[in-house]
Amino acid sequence: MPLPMVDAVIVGAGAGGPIVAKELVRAGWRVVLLERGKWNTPWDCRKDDLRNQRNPNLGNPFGPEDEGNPRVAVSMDGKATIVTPSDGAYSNNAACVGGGTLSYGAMAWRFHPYDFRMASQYGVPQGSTLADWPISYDDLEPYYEKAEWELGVSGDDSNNPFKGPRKRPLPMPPVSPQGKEHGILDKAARKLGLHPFHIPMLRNSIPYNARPACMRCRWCVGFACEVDAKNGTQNTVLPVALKTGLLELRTECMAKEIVVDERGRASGVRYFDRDGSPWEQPARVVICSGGAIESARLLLNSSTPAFPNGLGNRYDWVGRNLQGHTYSGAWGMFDEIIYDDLGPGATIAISDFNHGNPGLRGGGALCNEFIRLPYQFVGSRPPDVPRWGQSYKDWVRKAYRRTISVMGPTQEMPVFDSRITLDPQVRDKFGLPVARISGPKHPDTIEISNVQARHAENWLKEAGAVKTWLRLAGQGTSGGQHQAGTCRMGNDPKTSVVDRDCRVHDLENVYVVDASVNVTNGGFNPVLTIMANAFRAGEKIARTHAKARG
Amino acid sequence: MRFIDIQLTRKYKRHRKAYSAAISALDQLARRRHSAGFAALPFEDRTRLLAAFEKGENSKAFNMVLDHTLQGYFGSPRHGGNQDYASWRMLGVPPMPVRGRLLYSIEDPASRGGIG
Repeated sequence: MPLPMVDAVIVGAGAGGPIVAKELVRAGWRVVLLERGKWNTPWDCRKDDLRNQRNPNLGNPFGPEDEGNPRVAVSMDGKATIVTPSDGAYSNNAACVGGGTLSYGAMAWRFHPYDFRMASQYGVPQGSTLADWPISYDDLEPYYEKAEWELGVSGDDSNNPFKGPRKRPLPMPPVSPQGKEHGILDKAARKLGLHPFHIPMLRNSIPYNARPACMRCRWCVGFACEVDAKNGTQNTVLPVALKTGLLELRTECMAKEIVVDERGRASGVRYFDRDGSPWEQPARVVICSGGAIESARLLLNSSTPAFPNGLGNRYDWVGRNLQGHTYSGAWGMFDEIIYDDLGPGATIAISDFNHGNPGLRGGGALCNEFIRLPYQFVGSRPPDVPRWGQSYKDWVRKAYRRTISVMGPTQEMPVFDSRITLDPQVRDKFGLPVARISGPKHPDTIEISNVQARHAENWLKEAGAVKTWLRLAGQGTSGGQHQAGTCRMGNDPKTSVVDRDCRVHDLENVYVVDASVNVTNGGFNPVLTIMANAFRAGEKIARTHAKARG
Repeated sequence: MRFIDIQLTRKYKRHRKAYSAAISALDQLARRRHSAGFAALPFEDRTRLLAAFEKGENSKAFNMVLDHTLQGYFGSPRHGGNQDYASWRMLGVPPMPVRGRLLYSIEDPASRGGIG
């Protein structure tokens, strides 16, 4: 049933959608924001070590539910398995208002200027679709600043020389006091001639935006903040946009397809509400912000006789180049007790190895890890400790408060065959074809991440670790919470899906604004880049499709 | 144990068959080697049997039970395991903070108890 026409309908209230919504209502647009999940609160996930977005052993508190939302994961040996959101191979992010930003660790990185021109900087390795972005760091810089100030970022990267120019400092200082790990690692990094600094975080270190400072608890990454000190889209741009009265947020509404005529003009979005009833929301402009897996799925599910392979998919690029981050690092065991129960834990980083690694393309940041909840820790044994029994227990008892973990996200070399397609058989509870995830990591990615692990180990040794062991990355399709790349941004319609303004090449008024458009994913957590790009795209959309005056 | 019993009626319902199969396989192994059921054997024999069970054809089942055991022992007590925060006390992890702990000093962790 068609509803009254609005200026824009946005699919997905994660990191990108609410920012675009806010930019559009500021221009006077009437906007409908569809979100498949609920508006969750911290009370939906109360300090539960087995049921949170990071450890969903007993379920994902912030969605999607295990029932009715399958995907298909294809293993390296070609075996296809139906997986649920609490399986690792599902590559789940979250399905709720705020998306991943409700429960993330909240690292707020700007990508390095080289991250936008990896192909020019290093050349393209065989078997990779590595390319430059059509925009540069300088194009995004003002919007990085906007994201940092509007949502709120704490930290201090003034000691980091390996970064793009910043015009304005971060709005908040780092959290204080620093934990014991920070002091130990800071001293060791300086001795090694490295450049440690305070990780930028979308977390209040002082009261900001009328919300309090972080209370330093250990239930941070994977949880929503009980004192609302973590800044996601759900407690920043979204309330601002809703206050104008021009935005309507509809939760538990699952997009079915974008409605497009034969000339490539979209007229709206068909979706199912929480009861499964079908609706059609007409709009002048359609924006997909469902994340790299679901946005690609929506474009593919919107095929018509004029676009038989799905929207934007004339040259078979939708769903391709799925990337995440390849995490690697090391553990160090110390004689003294390190653990001080000061959350969030991750505070110190180095960017010395993001670029300039001899013979390698890129690299990644290295950070100390968030506080390990007991269950998260128990799998972190060194290879010579048995998995169970008395000697295992003795080790856990001794090691839990005496270890530091350093690790980081290696920038991945995109692979054309690492991809999302529609599964030919499996359907979700609405009867829609589900995402099928397949493809390998590039061998160079593994090589770089192994080098990063050695750097982490050296840092821990210098810090006085009496024993160290590596955490190396495995093969397997990348994706997860840092999923990106499936609707690549580019100038050439034959080798990309959207243009530099995030508009789908073939279509007049359909945009993709989330990590899908990332050509490469940096050696950093991607969220601030998603947010900055959403501010940029939102501004552009409002200008390109300006409302007629009157 | 309680954690696993409870979860086998909820989230881990789908593992029930695997549990039954694993328990009877372990019992058969015990009877072959010791002419007695697993539960009747002394601690040392049971440990040796589990080590054999871990390596053989039942390794998948062993890994599942091991992981569920770790979840129960180290996870939140609200799911039936880790009673009275036994594992957290063993590790020296402080108890749950009272909400609004910002009102209290965070300079000296020892003052909050549990950390020495």
